[in-house]
Amino acid sequence: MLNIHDLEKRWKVYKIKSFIPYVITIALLVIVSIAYILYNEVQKLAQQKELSKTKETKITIPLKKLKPTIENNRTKKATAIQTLKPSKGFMKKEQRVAITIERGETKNDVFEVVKRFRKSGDPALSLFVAKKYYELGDYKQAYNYALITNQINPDIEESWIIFAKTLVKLHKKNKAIYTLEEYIKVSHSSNAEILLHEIKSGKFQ
Amino acid sequence: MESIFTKSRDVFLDTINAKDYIQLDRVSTIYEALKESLRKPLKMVLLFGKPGSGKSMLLAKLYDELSEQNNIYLYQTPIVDENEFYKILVQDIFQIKYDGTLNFTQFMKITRDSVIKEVPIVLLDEAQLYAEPLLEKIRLLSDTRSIKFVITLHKTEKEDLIAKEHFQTRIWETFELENASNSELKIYIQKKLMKANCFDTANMFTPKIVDTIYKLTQGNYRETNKLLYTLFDIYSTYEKNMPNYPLNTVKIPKKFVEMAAIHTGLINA
Repeated sequence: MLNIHDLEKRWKVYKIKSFIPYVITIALLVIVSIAYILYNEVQKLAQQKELSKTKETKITIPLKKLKPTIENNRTKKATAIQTLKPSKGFMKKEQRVAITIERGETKNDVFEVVKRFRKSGDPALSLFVAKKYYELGDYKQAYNYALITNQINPDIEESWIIFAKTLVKLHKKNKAIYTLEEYIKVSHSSNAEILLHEIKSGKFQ
Repeated sequence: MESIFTKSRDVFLDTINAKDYIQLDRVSTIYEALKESLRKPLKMVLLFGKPGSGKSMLLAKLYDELSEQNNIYLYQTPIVDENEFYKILVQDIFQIKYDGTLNFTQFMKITRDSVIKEVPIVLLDEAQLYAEPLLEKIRLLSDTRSIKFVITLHKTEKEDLIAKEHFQTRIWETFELENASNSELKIYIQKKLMKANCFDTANMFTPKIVDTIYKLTQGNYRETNKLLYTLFDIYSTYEKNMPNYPLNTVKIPKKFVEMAAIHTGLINA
């Protein structure tokens, strides 16, 4: 005769044992998820800390001191750049860059973005740097960063436009026309067409 | 009146009885081929397979079917002592009762002098249990063609070696028995139960439950018999001791199969 009670007990133990691997797997998944969330939180905090640090620097650096350094490269347009805000379309595309734009307009901010770009290789950042240099009148640097942006992502219209504009500013009008024509062939960009027309007609110099 | 569960339990008692032989397509093919090989002038036929793959049952079935017309002898338990082996064979085949010691030479003389027209067929089960010197004599005996041997061997690494050393060159026909497949196991279980008129319990074996059983026993007939015997024993025990326990003949609870597997050692718990 079978000892059914003992057998039932053994069966219960077996069932509990057979669930252990599933419990371990679920527990591991939960731990990994928690660790991931915590890691993200720490990253966010570190970023916020970094932001607040830059803000502090901005306050402590007197604007007058910076002026002479910018002065050399500054054109008439550059003074207007001080109050310039990024276009809405650009903000829509890259929220992260928008934060940088809001907090300042000095060259120090550009260096900060350059630093971040070197770390992440994000074309939105290099485009921002190109635009910033363009606004500051440093066309060589603007050309370099627009070129880098085009190399990383050849589909950013704004980057090609900045690139062509810097070429014009660097007295390479023909190259700018050629570049825009080639770009229009691929993208059919109306903005590029407008700029091409302006360059050709001499409206943009 | 005997309960359906008790009746079903007894169906799976591990006994070697030709009447319990269950006809499965693959086994039937081997069986027919084995029968055919006995008609040929072969010295020795080897039937091998893993323990519990149905070798003994097949030998018993062969004996049961051929014993009326043929000069056939079945030895299910190995005769370990050499002298005893010859004496039993002489007594069974030639009806000579030998009281003293009988050695190989004397036995050979008896076989040579015998006037038996039909070559006797000796079925030796569990041949791997015979001592090596005796296996050598069996080999020599088969060479004389005075006795035809059908031997069964376990298929393990060690026992394959025995077969190789002692029989390989003499074996003319080899049959390998394998464990049942999933679908064969279902047919085996249901046929076995239906043979004993346990139709209700036979219908309880759904593909899902057979799959569970197959995973536990790997289609081994002996292990399956053991497992199902315990399974129905569990049913009987619940029926007897816990009348309020909800038992039915619709579905086998997986719990019962697992409990049976724990009891038979198929699950280590």
